[in-house]
This record gives sequence, structure tokens and C-alpha cells, in this order.
Amino acid sequence: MPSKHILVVEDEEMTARLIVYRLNALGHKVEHKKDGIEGLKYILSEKPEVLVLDVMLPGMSGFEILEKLQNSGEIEFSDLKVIMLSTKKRTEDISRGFNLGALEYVPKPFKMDEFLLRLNRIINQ
Amino acid sequence: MIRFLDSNSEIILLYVVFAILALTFVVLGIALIGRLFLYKRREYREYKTEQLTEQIIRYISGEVTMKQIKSKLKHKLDFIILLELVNQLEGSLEGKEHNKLNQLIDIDEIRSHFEKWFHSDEPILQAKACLYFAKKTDFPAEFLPRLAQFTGNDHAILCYAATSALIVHGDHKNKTAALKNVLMNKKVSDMALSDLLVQFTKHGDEYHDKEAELIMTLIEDESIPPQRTAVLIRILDELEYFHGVDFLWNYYKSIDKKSTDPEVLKSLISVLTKFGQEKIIQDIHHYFAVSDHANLRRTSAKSLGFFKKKVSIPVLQWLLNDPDFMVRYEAAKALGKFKGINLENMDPPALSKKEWKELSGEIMAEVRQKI
Repeated sequence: MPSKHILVVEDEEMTARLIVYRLNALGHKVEHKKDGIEGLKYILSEKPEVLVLDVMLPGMSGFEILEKLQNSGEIEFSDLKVIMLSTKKRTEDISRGFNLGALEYVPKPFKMDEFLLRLNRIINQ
Repeated sequence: MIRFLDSNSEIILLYVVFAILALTFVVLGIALIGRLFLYKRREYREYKTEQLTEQIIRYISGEVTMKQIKSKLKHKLDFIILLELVNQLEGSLEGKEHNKLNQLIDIDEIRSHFEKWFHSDEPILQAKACLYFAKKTDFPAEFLPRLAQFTGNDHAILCYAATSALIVHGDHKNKTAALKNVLMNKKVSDMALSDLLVQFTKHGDEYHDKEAELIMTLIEDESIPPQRTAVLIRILDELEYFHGVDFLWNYYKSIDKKSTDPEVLKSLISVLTKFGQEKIIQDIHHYFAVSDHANLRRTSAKSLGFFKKKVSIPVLQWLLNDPDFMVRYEAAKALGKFKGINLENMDPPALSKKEWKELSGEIMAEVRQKI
């Protein structure tokens, strides 16, 4: 798998640490932000290639981040591949994520192998 | 005595000053040692949290063994930190990682600690122990009677936690009794009850036959408070049980529309509407849209908007003048779904032109977005 610059925006410390650890082990360059505003700033300034995005975040929700990115016009979604992670499992939440540009939506709780498989798939798309 | 005090006054004063100074130093010393102790403890906690975080992540990634983790656990605080970290992570994971996390909290020291709490006399400690056992796959059979007894406890958290554990470890008879206890416990919130019912249905088979049958029995049980019956109706709907709709329709037909609790009626109307049971429209027109309960009128408006029958238009227009804002809002939203109705041209007498313009504009924008 080619090495990618990945941003993980997740406020649950342990979950984030596990994802970062596993992605680092796969050779990716990984950055972690705990809140939505910090995450958005990082995306706009550092332009990561892949975004692992939680929905419920302090400061700004994952959906709001994607809306702001769409409105800003500074990011092309073909350059930023988004995988969402959330405890929100209702159809309307999932379709909202896809409508805002996410390529994958992983409901929590999740299986790590399945998450990595889906991430791999969007990286190779 | 006076002569003694007179002649030694200076020395006495010196002693008093000295004693005050010594006391001040002692107090300051204790405060400083206390601060230092707290600082060291915090520092140790941070260090241990970091160390165990890394160990747990590596353990569930298959890089370290349980034995290696155990070797890092020396003090009581270490076990507490381990438990906190596992609790933080377990909600996010399932499958083999989740099972590994469960093995971590099955360490003898942790298990015996919770067993002690389970047998204590303190409801909060008992509840914590029950929540711990609810996560476990095994549970000592000899503890079951005590667990069942906890479900009947007046303490809401203990009642909830014990039921949660019994759903995992009890048989159908135990579960039935426990759920009935929760339903009768007024201190347990509706949200907690819903949560338990969802847990209960998740532990059933694929078709939820037994669970659905129990819920149907409880819906018909007149000793259950109406607020709880309303929750049961919503859960039966979520189960998508094959016979659930027929059961709810028959139940609906059997109850007195005027005397039944509005919360029960509200749940029934919502569920029957969702399943397209058009026969309720007439009852909505005659009873529910004119009910004294705003919530019931609001549900009526929503339901009529779902069926979109022309015969309901006058009822919805009448509801546009309702004293309750949410009823007016739902009625306007329902009317917005009818073809050929232009909300902006309407003029409900109870609302000012400005109010109506705002409400209808907002609703039309929402309806258009959905289209």
C-alpha cells in the first residue's frame, strides 16, 4: 500500500490512538486532531490526502467540517478521500455523510480489520 | 499565680509565639507534603495511563501478551486506570478486538474486586459490579438470585444495571421478571428503559419471536403505567416483528379512544401511520385532532400529512389555528405535501400575516429540499 498523509479527527483518545498506531504501522504519515476546528485548520493548511473523520466532535461536527470544505472551494474532494466513523447509524446520517463527499461511512462499534479494508479501498480508488 | 505570671510574662509570651510559629511550620509542612504527594500521584497517573494505553493498543493488535500487561500492574491505581482505558475503547470496537478487551478486564484482581462490590450493601457499588458483569460472557450461577433481586430495587441505577446484566446472563423467565420490575420502577427514565429493551431484543434470536411476544404481553398488561406502554409500542415497532402490526392494530381497536392515555395513543398513531393503516384516519379526524392534548394533535397533523387524503385538508386547515405552535407547524408542513396547495396563499385567522409568511416560507423550503 502506498504511504499516505492521513489526518484522524477523533475526540475519543483511545480510539484515535489505536487508529493512529495501526496506520503508522502500515507506513502512513498520520496526524491526529481532537476537535473539529483544529481538524479543519489542519486540512486547509496541510492538505492531507486521506481524512478519517468522526461525526460527533467538540467545536465543530464532522458534517460541518465537510460542509465548510465544500463551501470554501479550497479543497478538491478528488484530492481528499474521506472515511467517516460514527455511532450515528441512521440512514439519514449515513446518506448525509455520502452527500457531503465521504467515500466510506463506518458505524461504531467497528472491527479494526474491516475499517482498514475500507480505508485501503478508498486509498486505491 | 498572678505573681508568677507577672514575673514570667516575657518568657510566657516567648513560648506562645514559639508555639504559634512551630504550629504554622507544621501546618505548612503538611500542606507541602500533601501537595507533593498529589503532584507525584498525578505524575504517576499520567505516566501509567500513557504506559497502559500503549500496552492495551499493542495487546489488541496482537503484539504483547496478557502476561506482559499483567507485569505492569502493581498498585490498585494501575487496575483502576486499566479499567478506565478499556471502558473508553470498548464502545468503539467489536469483534476480536472487543473480545480481547473483555479478557483484559477479566484479570483476577479486577474480577474479585467487583465480586466484593456485588456482595456489598451499597447500591452504587452493587450497580457498578452489575455493569461490569453485564460485559462479561460468564457469570457465576450462584449470583443469579441476588442479581434478580437487584432488579426489584427502588434505586434506579441499580435496577437498570442489574437488569442489564440479567439480560446477558439470565433465562427468559428471569428476563421477563426483570423487565417488569424496570417497567414498574418510576425512577428509571424512559430513555434508560428503551436502552434496556434494545439490549433485550439484541440478545434474542434473528426473528425476535420470544422478545416480541413478551413485549406484546407487556403492552396488554394493564398494571404497567401508560408512559411505559408507549415505550413498549415504539420498541415493538423497531423490532419489525412480522405479527407486530396486526397485534398493534387489534390492540388499537380494543382500547377506548377517549379514555386511553394520550402517550399510548400517540405511539399507536405513529406506528400505525408508518405501516399505512389508513383506517385510523377517521379516528384522527373525530377524536385525536380535537384532543385536549397538544402532543396528540401534533401527531395527528403529522399522520394526516403522511396519508395525504383530500378529506383531511379541512382538518389540517383548522389545525393551522391551533394555540400550540408545534401543532400549527406540523399542520402547515402536512398541507405543504398536498399537490395544488399553495401555503403562501392561505390566511389562517389565528396568525398574523408576518407569522404566517415566516412559517409557510420555512416549511416550503423544507418540503422543496426533501423533494
